Amino acid sequence: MLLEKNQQLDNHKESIKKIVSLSPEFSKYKIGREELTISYSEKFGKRLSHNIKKIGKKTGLEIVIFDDHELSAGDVDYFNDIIRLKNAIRSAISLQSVVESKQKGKFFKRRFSTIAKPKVVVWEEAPVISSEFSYMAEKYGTPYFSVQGVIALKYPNSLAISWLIPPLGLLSEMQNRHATYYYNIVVNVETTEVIYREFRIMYNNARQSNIDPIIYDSFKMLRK
Amino acid sequence: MRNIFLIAIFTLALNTCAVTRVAAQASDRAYTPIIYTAPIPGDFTDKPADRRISTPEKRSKDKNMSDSERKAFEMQLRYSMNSVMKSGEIYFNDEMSSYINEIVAFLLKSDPVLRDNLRVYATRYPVVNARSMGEGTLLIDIGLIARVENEAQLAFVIAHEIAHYLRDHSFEKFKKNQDIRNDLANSRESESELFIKLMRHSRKAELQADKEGFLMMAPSYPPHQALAMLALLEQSDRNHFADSLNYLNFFNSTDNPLDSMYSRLMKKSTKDYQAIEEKKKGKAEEKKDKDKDKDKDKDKGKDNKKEGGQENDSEEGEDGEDDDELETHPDIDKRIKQLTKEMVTLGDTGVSLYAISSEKFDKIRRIARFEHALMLSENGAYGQSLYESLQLLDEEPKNQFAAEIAGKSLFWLCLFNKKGDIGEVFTERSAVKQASYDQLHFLISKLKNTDDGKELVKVSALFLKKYSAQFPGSEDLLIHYGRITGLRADGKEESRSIYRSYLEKFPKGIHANFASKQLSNGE
Repeated sequence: MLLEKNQQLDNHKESIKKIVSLSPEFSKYKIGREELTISYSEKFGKRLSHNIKKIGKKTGLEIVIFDDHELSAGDVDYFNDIIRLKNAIRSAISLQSVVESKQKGKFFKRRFSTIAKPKVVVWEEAPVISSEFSYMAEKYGTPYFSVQGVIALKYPNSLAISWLIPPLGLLSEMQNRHATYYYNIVVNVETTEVIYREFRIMYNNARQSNIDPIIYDSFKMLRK
Repeated sequence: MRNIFLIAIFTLALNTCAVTRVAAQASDRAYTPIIYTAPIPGDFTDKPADRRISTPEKRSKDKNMSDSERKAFEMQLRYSMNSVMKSGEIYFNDEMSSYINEIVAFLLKSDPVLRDNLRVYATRYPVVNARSMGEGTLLIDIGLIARVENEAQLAFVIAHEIAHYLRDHSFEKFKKNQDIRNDLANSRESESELFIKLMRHSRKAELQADKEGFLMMAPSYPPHQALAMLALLEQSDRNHFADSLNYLNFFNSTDNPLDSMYSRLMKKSTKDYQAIEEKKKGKAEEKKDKDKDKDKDKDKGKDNKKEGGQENDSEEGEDGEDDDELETHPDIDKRIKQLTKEMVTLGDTGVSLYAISSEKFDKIRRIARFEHALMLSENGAYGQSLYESLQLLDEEPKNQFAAEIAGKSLFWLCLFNKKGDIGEVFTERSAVKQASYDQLHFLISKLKNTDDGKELVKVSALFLKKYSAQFPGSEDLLIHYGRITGLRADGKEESRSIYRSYLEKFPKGIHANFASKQLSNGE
């Protein structure tokens, strides 16, 4: 689990009331013995968008989602604003390194994270995007925009032959063959800084009942 | 009736808004980047299940194909096209795409059914490439449009892609991939052997598309332009820009002359560069001699084989050389050789280089070049975008847009340098193999290493100051002048005064919220 925040995040918390989510993505892959195949379905993405909105409300956040599921002939803002900003955030995240601030506190707290209390890295210098997107704060009624998504992986099933040797078969059946990744990056277009970024791994399948608590916790991190 | 009227007004209003925005900027920028306008074509809004799939005749008649194979392929196509078309990387309602479509209509004037099955768009991908997606969509990359020399060369590329579509090469590739997976699962052959097989199949398809595309374009355009296009592809890591550029024209400001150290540095960089080039030339000649010796040895080997009565079982053609066995495309020499044979039978067709219009071609190529520089800067290739925008500024010194891209690129280079990441965004010997690119790289490297990077910030700030004065209507130049000044340890107050003057000039500007925030944060 990797939770990182800008030094300024605590100052932002009061003002984070509305976030525009830039086309959340849900990708599902099946890893075979020799290849990786993508599972095609629109319903995963639609459900994710719906739940992000619902969970946002529970945590006191208004989440506005712009996704590509229901585009109409007049939705040019999706191409002129939403996708351009999303690409700019991705580019900033992939190209710029961050400077971590020296953290104080107990040795254990500084180094390890637990499920109850995840370790949060604080940035001294955060990745930045171009200031040409700052007009979007007025246009969309908030300076906060996020890139969110889920990547679900399913690993191959155990070999049927392993069942012939009972303890081995049982062991291999007990192994988890799923990994679900959740990411959330929040940017403030007025200051141009990425204020929060997280990456969580869960060794369980991507059922909504598994993903929802992660999203809830993620939004709570932005509020508390 | 009332509803239709309302829709018409709504659509018109959307279009008018977009046109007004473009016109307002066009008057003073010399080039205006492409903005997406409504109505968005169905290819960009349709859900995967509703996506239009134009199946080539070959596939509909193929009896060896099972229903499940067809379904699996079409499912993959629908979803991959959905993500490509909604990625923001494909232009629509733009001049480039409409010009390309005119060429397609001209090439297929005798086959209106095929013409209607094809949808052709220009893309924002900066590479020299084009692709047929297998369901009737052809995508022509901006890197290619910026690079071609005339309409005939572009027509050859388009005809080549149409041939891929007609021959259903994407489905063949899909099937081949599946066969290879099965073979791999059954462990009949090693992974590398299967990969080589797949590449060989791909090269065969390319040669076929070359030949059929050539025959399609030859009656309408001078056929030798197909050969010229292939030769140009061989040099795709070079561009159309000059091999030498005097960078002092941009960076030497008269109202605030750079100190003598900088002039010395510039002279030194040129001198050092010449030395490097000479060294490289020497090495290249040495390599050439070695290659010649190798070729001689190969020829000897071949003669021995022939004498020994062994057969050449390569699928690569009569010369049997397999230098490109790991490549998707055949060696350019092989492709040129194939078309040269066809040329002999065709002779001179006496047709013009331009069937649509040379003026239109020049216009769309100019658009492609500016969009290419913009694209590079948006993708974080700041070294390359600086290089291209300076070349464009050299060609059109009054072009505000070129100065803006250069100014923005300089700001980002300085910021990345401060973070210690400049190598990520300005690579030595990157996609551009050109002396003037190397020279710019050399110059920026020297500047970033001088005085702990302060020299690079200083020179870049002078550039932005100079061009902000030359183009007082530019929001981008002024805001980046403020941002770059703020990178200096002692520049905070100066940058705040620049933000203040930005807000006075452009209270509703696109950077206005950023400028206000910077001012309020400092209070």
